[in-house]
Amino acid sequence: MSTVPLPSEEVYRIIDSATGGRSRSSITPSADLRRDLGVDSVGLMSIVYLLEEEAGFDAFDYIDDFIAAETVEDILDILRQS
Amino acid sequence: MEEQERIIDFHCHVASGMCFPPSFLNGMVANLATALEARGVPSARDSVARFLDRTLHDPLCDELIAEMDQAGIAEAVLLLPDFTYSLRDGDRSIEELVEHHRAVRDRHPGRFRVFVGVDPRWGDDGISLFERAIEEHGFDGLKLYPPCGYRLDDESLWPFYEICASEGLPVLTHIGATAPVFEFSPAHPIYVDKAAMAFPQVDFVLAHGSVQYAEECAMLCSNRPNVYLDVSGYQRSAPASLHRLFGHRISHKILFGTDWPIFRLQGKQIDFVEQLLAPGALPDSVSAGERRMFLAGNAERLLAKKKHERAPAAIAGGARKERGNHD
Repeated sequence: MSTVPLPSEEVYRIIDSATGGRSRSSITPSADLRRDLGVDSVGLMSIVYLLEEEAGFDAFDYIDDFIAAETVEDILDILRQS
Repeated sequence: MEEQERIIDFHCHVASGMCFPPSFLNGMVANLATALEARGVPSARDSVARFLDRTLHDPLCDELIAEMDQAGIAEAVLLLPDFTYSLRDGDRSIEELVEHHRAVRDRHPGRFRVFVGVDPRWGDDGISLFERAIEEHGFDGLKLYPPCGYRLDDESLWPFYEICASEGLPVLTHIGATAPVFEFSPAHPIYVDKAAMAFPQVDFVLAHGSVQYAEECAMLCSNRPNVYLDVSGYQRSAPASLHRLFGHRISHKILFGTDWPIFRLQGKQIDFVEQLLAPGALPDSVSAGERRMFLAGNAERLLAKKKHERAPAAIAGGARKERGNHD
């Protein structure tokens, strides 16, 4: 599976989609996924599945990193490593 | 410098697949997959299961201890529900799980209490197992899980309640919905009433009482001196659920609990503590003393009734560490 680099704006759009489109203006690199954006367990899974689909990488190689991710920047870091 | 509040988490589990049979987890996966499908997110159930599985790789509770330290949680109660009678697809017997919990408790001196569950349909063998767990391992209470197929007023539980009365041990029971492999109706809180009336020396704690049948749980706590509740599950609905609950003026009956590891995908223990300590999390009418009772005092009072202490529990630290100390 080849990885497609995603621009930050595209990652923000995915996070926004996973949180029900409520928080686009709040999505910044330093935003806390749970506290600021309201990401819950289903929201986190949604982010992972949508990133996997659009970036074409095996998210399960990084599943612990996604679970530990606290901020939007942490998500961007995972994608940079993939 | 502001004094760190002492915190006892009255509702945790060992985060390991050994404690949750596949049929139990499959039900949780089904609910998650339904939610994802509703959002139009492509997800296969086996991948959802893999996701959930990653939250259950802490069999010795080392990660839990690290998160407790970070969050300033001094002690936690490990609850061992006995699914082994009703769900036969697990890979451990209840005896093996009891032994595992003893090993975890001993690995982290002074940090864990253990409430052991025994399905009453095991009969005399189950009673003997519970007695051994109390007398030989020094466990601290009884954990019941009515969705397995029994009610709290079932008189097959009377011998267990008699042991708890004799030993000064509390009973903590699951309340409300759970994994869909089970029928939910036996877990209605009103079934505690007959037992609580028959055993006034035993304290009964209704788990998830802030979010499952919350009004009924508050009514029981208000009117039965020996009925309490824990707030685990508040992570989904705070602060509204906590404001309603504390509005009943039963601060002396409410216990802090997180239900680790159930909410691991939703945050860390420090997030859940900060959620409670944030301004406005509790009603302004809750005094500092009432908050201390909620975070630790009520738990300490219940646990202190134990008549035969196996060994003095070391007083754990508990100063909350700055986020990142364990990262």
